[in-house]
Amino acid sequence: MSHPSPFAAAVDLIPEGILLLGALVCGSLAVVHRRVPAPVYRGLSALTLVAAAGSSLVYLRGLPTSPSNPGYVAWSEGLVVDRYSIFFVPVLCAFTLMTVLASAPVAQRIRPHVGEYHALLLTATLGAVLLASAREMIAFYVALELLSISLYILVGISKTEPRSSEAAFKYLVYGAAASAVLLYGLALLYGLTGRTDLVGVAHGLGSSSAAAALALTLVIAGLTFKLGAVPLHQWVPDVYEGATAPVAGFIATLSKAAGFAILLRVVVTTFPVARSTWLAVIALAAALSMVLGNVVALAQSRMKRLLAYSSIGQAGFILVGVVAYPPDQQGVAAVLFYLFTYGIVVLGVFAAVAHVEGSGAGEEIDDYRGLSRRSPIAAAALAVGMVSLIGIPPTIGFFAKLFVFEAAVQAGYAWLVLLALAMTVVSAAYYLRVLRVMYVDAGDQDAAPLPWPPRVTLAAIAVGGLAALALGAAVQPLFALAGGAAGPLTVR
Amino acid sequence: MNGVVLSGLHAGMSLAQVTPGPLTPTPGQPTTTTTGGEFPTLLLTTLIWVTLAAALVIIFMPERTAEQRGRIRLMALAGTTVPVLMAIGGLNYQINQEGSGGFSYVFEEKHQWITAFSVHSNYHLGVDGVSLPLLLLSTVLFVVAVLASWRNERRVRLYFVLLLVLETGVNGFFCSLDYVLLFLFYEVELVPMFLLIAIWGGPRRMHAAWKFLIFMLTSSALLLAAILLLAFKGGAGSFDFDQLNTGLHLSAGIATAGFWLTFISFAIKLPVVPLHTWLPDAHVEASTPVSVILAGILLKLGGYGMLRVVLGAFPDAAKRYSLAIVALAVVSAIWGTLAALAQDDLKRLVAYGSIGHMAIVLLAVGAQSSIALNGAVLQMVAHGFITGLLFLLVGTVYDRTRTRSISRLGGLAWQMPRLTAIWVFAGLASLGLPFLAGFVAEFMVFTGAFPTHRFATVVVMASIAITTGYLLWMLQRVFFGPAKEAYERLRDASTLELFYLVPMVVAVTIFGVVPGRIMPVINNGVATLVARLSGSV
Repeated sequence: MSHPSPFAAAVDLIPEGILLLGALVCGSLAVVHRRVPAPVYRGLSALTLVAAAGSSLVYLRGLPTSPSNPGYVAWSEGLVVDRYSIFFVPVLCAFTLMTVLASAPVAQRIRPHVGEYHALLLTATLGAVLLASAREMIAFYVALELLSISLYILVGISKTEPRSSEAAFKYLVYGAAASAVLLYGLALLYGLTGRTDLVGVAHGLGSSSAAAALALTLVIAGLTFKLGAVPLHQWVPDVYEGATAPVAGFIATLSKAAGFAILLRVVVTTFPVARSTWLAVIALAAALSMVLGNVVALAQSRMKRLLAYSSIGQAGFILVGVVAYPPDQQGVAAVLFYLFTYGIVVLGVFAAVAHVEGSGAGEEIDDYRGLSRRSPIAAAALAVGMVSLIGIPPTIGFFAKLFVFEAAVQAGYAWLVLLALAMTVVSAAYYLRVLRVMYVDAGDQDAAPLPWPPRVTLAAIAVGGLAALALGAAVQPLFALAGGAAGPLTVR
Repeated sequence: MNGVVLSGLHAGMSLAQVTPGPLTPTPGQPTTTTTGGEFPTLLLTTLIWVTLAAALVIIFMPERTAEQRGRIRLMALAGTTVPVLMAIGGLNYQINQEGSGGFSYVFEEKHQWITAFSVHSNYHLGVDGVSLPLLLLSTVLFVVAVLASWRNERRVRLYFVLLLVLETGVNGFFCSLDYVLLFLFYEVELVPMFLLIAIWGGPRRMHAAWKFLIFMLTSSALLLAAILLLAFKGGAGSFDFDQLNTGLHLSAGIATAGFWLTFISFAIKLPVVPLHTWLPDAHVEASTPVSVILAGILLKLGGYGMLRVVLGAFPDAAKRYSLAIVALAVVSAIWGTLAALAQDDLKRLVAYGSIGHMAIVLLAVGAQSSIALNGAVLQMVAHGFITGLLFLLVGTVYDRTRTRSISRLGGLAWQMPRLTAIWVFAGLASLGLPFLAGFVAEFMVFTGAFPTHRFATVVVMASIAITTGYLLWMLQRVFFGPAKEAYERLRDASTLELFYLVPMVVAVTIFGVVPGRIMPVINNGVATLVARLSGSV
């Protein structure tokens, strides 16, 4: 279904419009009035995000559900509104909301640009949301760049800190290279088929060819930059370390989720012909990411670098679910379930890290010594988060991994699951090291307790911890939700 | 291996022939009907989760003053006592039920839980003759552990929270009748035990805690791999025991892979030489109550897994590789007991002794006859009580003398006669003195294993002689001989100590003198396994 006039077409993009409006308000306010306090921006952003997430649910009514026509096509057939894209709107908005809440302890570092900071969080969210609904290569690329450029600036927002600028520069350079790789792949596809929409490209490609295989390898490789997966993962540790903790968490969740959203749509809709090729490419990326991320994380001494390598490893685990794309949509459902639960838990972890760093306790893992005494809430949330990231039951991380592994075994990737299991054991060593430092090592007995976290950040920390612990009780409904969202990607 | 006595009837008859009066379990096949629906079926749910509920309450209790810490202890005691009463109630019901025929699982609860990839997983709980005695053991030992921790003043709140979460995991494991649920509970104990060793342990606690963790995670990973294999390649479309542990015909390759994955997984837990190296470290570095839990209960997860998962899900492969199992049992028995003989540290001695005792369980798993498996279950219960008692006693000696070195101790009998009496009792029980729990169990295993594995059985029996040697030698060096001046003013057992030691003594005696009361219950559970092994279910 499409609309005759651009005005009517705007109705298809209410959540995106709200996000854009919110970003504009925050941005203009920052320009007009320099002294607006941070809570105002926080409130504005929260309002925008809640409104955007809420409005997206409106589309569920009357959405076509037939397998051949799973959603609306909007905006010159550049975007699609289906259950898959609608699933991502509230999820991505929730990620951003938690980031906003987690940003309170680092307000000092971003003070001169607090308005721009929130505006950029919203434009990044807009980019991510558009990415999840792109069905055409131009829209895909524009959305990706909107997301990326917002993130480059967010990383470098503490202009006076050399580390932050360095991280932003590295991010930009790697990002540009990744975009080039991706663009090359997209250009090849256009050259081969003369079409830009993903479905059209799929029809145009016809049978498998060497050029198609090359194009899809380039596209997947370019996207691994967003996923933070091997081969384009090198930026991750430096950027996480240079960025503030909330922004690092934002990149680890929102950017990763958006990357997986478009990756799934591209490989599923565009490349049914060369399935064995892309499965092999992704399986390789998954295996290498798991091994590299989890093994190198063992050697880290700084908290955010540890989380960075952990995030590479996690990207590998999620890719196992992408590989395991069985003939029905459940492999996708496993990935969506993983993305959502992982995101909430990781944002809680980063909120706790933001609190610890914001209180001046330090960034080394050893600075977390005795945290169970100095800040029981942050320590407990971090502990639960770490256990969930390993995937130890009854935390939600266990179910996320279980579903991904089940999908992979069913799809015949038992070897990848065995590797993933081995890497899970390895990952426990560094995740539990954090637990050990906080709970076992006494640290300096005279070290003063940390101040209580700001109330909003406390909320983010608590949501992350409680989600890790308690979402396990609602596993079935959540998985059913993810299953519904995966519907439009069913291979027919 | 094909000569294994597999008929429940035959095994029951031989049992009647070779054992004294009270030991005459009713032979026979279990009936397939379950009596689950007739009960208020929240018994097991309550039993499992009540300890977690207590832990959640304790999290919010302050621990600044001595009075507040006292309240936390009382709460922990209450939380662990409820499951004991329920387990005793359940067992008692089952014993009285015996006349009215067999059963498979009782107190069953089954609810749909997760459906993904068209494979179902249920919240399915239930107990039978194999799990009920172990459940009793576990619940009792946790009360004992709480009492033995009464004097601990360090981070009391965290300590009891971890202990109670651990109990939820263990009890849940014994009650699970669904592989996802089973695995979930299997891993719940991991982090609490890691922290219990790492925070309240001895000087090398960090090393021991990491070693424990890596071994256990490996065990879990292997188990999960096997579970996924079983559920997805077995073709049953379910993780439920009802589908997977009842006559599912697996292809030879899947069965072999699944058998080895689960066998190695639980061999780490049991432990079996050469996968045992985590055990001496963990047991020695852990504090006394934690050692009691480790040796008394956590090892039984391995034994229970061997019976329920390895034999229950892969009976054909288990039969095929029974010789390998028996060979490992022989190696473990000799290795464990010889190593115990060489120890100077009391705790290390008991720890290596555990390896020897659990090897007897493994022998039964290899022998796969009804009488041997009955013995294996009883051996696990007996070993749980006896070794728990020994670790508690080592704790009492260490508390008084600040040493566990056998060569530095001596003549303690003169200072602490009451404790010495209990020591001697525990030592004799551990070496298998008739009329105590260990004897009955070991005797049954040997009787059941001898017809098919004569040589192996004789060798393992020889290891009992070594056990006798190291225990008596230890008792002689520590308690008898001339009194040492350094230990002149040692106190004898305190009321609190007697309060948790004496019930253990009573339990060991009851299981030894009147096993006939509980054997029919155990046999009912084992009969299902044996029927499965013989291919008739």
